[in-house]
Amino acid sequence: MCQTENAADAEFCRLCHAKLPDPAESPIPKGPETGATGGETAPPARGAPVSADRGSQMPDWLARLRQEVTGEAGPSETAPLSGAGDDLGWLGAMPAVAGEDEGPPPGEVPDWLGASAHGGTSTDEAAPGADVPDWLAKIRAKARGDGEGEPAFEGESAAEPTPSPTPAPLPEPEAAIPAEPEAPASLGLPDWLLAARPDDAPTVPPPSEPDRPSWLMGVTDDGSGELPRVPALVFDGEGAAPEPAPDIDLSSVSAQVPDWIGEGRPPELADRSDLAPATLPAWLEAMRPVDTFRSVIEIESAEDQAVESAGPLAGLRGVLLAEPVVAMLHAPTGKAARLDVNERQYAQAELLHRLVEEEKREARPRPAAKARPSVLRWVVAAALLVAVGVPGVLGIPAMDLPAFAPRDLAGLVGVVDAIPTDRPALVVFDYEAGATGEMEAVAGPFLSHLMERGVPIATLSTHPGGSVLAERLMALQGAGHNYVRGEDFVHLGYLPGGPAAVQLFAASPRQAVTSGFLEEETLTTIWDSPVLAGVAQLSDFTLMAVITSGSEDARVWIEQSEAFLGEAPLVTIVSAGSEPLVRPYYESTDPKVNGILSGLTSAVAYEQRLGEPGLAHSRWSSYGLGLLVVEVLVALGAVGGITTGMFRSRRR
Amino acid sequence: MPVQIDPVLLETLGTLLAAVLTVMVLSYILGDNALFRIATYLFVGVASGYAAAVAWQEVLQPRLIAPFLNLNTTQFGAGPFVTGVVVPIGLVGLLALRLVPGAGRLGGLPVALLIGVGAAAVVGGAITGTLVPQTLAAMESFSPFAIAPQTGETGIERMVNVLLVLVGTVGTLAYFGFGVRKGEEHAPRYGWRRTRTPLGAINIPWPVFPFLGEVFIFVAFGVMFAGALSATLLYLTERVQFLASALQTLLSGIFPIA
Amino acid sequence: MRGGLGLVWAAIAIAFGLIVLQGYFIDLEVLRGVRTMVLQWAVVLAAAALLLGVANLLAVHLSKIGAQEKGWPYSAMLVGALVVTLLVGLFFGEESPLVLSVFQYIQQPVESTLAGLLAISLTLGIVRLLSRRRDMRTYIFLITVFIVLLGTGPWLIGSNGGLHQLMGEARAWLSQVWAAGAARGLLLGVALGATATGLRILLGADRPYGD
Repeated sequence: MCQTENAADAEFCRLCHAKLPDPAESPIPKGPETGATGGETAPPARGAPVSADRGSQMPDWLARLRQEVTGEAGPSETAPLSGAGDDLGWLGAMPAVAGEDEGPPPGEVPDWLGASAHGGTSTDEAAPGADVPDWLAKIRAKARGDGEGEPAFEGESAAEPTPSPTPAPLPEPEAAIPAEPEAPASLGLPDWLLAARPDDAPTVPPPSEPDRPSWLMGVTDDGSGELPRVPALVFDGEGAAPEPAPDIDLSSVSAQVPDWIGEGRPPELADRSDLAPATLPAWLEAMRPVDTFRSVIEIESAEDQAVESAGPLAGLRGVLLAEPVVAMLHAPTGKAARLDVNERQYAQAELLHRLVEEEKREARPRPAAKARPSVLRWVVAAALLVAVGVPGVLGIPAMDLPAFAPRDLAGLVGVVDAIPTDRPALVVFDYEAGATGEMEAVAGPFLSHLMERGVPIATLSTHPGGSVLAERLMALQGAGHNYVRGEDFVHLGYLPGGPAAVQLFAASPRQAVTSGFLEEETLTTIWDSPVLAGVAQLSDFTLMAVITSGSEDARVWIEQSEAFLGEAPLVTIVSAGSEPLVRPYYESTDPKVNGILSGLTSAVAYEQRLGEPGLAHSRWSSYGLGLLVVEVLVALGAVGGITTGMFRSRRR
Repeated sequence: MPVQIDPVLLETLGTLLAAVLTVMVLSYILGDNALFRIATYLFVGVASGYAAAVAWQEVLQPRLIAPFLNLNTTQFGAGPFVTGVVVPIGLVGLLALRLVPGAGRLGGLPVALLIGVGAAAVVGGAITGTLVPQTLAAMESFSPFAIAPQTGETGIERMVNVLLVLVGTVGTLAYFGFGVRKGEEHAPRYGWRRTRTPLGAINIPWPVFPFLGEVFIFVAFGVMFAGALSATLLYLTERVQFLASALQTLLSGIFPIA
Repeated sequence: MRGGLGLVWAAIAIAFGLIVLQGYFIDLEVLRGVRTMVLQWAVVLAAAALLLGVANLLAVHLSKIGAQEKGWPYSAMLVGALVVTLLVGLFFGEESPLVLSVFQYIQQPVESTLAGLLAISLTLGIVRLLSRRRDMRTYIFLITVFIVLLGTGPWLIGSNGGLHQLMGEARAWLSQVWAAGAARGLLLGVALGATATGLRILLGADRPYGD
């Protein structure tokens, strides 16, 4: 059994669930009261004499002990504990733990132990324990016979702790009870049990280690002839009964309480100066948890603990005080606690602050500020508008026409003059409506030259509005040469698709264009027009001209159509701003562009050569005056910029 | 469907409208305003609508719709009809699915076709039309007896020009190499290196070809800028002259000269 | 499925692209017909794409109108102009005088005037150039512009004189030699870049058509 105290009417142990002996069958021997409350009824598990009928209830150690003594298989009659006699009264004098309802009466010694405590007449003297097992009685007898000074346990004698220089380790479980069949002189009882009586000199030398557990110290012999009593949990080594807790009244039993039985108060260090500190065996020491997990809590003594005076916990000791920390408001101390911040933390705090500030900044976008009107812009605009408007309205000043024609013009004129006129020329109108001011003026004389030679013209465009612009310019130029749509020129219309469309047209014009713009309704397809008679592929055109304001369109036509043109020349009429990017195709040993026309100056010279003043002439004076104004403004701006820069550098 | 409109009336009203719109756009000189915005938004709407009408009337309708209207049973099922009409209709239909949420992935087929064909056209044209010819053109003869076919230049003048064009070409290509060595990301692009020449030791910028290329590029940009400026000046000239003529026409209409 | 469709699109782009590309270098007769057919499909699809672009423009501005966003009246005007022009063009034909008048009296004037405003902006820019930045490049740029302008247009006094002719020659030299050399380098660079980009598409490395 596990020696756990259970309720009187409990049938099974509450800890090990072993079946408990019937309390009616094993009456509990009475012993001196030890102050336990409710000690009339004793737990049947404690002190209950072991009868033969209840051999299965006998603790194993006791059973083995009996076997050694009697040599019997089961526990039957056992000799009483030798030398127990009155000395074993301490076993019964063990006080019950406070709070237990049942327990052996204080001082009550089990019968089987009580007879042996009284020496040879233990069997007779153990009359209160009339049920002492025979085996125990034999043990007693033998023990008495072996020697004097049998250890006897005095229930009332003060427990004198055996002085021991070293802390006594726990008794080895293996060294409990020897299994020898013959009982040794000590009857197999552990020496501590035999030498438990502090008054008598132990006949059996006490074991070198551990001599006596501390809980056995202070056994007393109350002289009542009862079995010595094993003291209970030791709190106080001197045997003086500790001051009982205020809520537990032990006045009625305090007289019987051994001194060594204390309650609540840990022993003073000075009181326990002779008490050897406990030492743990190595294997147990190794199992000790790490110190870090051990929290050392110092519990203040009751006197030192403050009593709560306010709140719901008023009157209690040992609680966290609500005032003045929590409940009472207090003004902050005049001097704020100073944070100890290192450089890294400061930098991180700064970064966090900046991030938060940026977040605020981004979350609130400012409305765009309205741009201030620029005076300089007004001045420049006014100057340019006047410069280009005055000559057109008033006719003055009349700028001199260019006296020298550009070198490129001669080549272009030569190309146009050399083409046959029995086949149409393909003219591509790849500029936007916004560029009509320049392109109509520059391309006008070229178209006029073609018309003058009587070359049929077919127009095409890769821009949606190109056909309309072609019609507009052809109508303008054709009016002076009696060119009629459908007879002298046709519009092949709009060709979408960029480079792929141009490649398709270059490879197979008839499959690229199926319907024209402003074509005659009588025609099934535009290719039925008399203007396009005999034209099946690109090389059938007499000439291909690309009129464009951007270099990209010119480059696309040059790249895609060059392989299919054959002998037909390719000329480009481009804006002045795009000329540098088209010129490399023109200025090479094997030029891909056979003629180039760019700029109003070339157009005016072209018109002069043809003898037909046109749009270029009409815009020349305005253009010239406007250019002069721009040059003056550029010069003034440059001077102003340099001067401003010089002043700024001087200030610095 | 012909619409009979008096051409003179149409022209008069049209000219007036054009003049008003021109003034509205020119008001931007004073700053962004509602008149300018009205004119530009109107222009965008008209241009978009006209482009869509042209694309339908000149390309899609004659190629996809008209064949069905003029179809006879013998043509139906013929190869050219299938490849020229049916398949393009299917492709256009798939392309239109790009506007439908959830079915837009099917429109990947016509887009892939367009992109593949366009890329091939660009690559083929760039190699055969620009890369090879321009590379060959850059390798002109330095012979003093050669004559430039377009300009008729010869002799030293031509040699200098050919050399300049060659240096400009190589330098421009060298300029667009922006690799830097590790650890020199913030170093200036050009440095100075003392070089011995027949004229003595002089400091020349290094690396020299990117430096020269930058010079040539900025000269080219200057030429292009001047050309663009003169072109836009012509645009402005045309507009101002139009306004003047429109005003003259309007005034003559209001105050006819007897 | 998503990855599978993407591979199909890539295969189509590469296949048709190679058919078109071979026409520039080899021009196999057996593939000539297929090449022409594929190019025709591209023309039709380009026109359809233009229509889709206009439809998208319409949708964007309609949503602006519906959401009453800032500037929605302008969007309403745009939508109205677009629809009216489109309907007139579809019903009367893009060749009708009405439609041509719309182009001539609305689109062309506005577009030309917008281009004319560029003259003021460009002049303003170059007037302020040296006050903002002064380095070698700026000086080269400014001097070139000045010489070209001087050599392009007429002078009030001394036009066609020796100095004017000299400026004309200088202008020609700058534009036909210096600028031509740089332009050739630019054209070669542009062609190299276009070739690289196109080859990436034809090899399937780039798939701008999506998966």
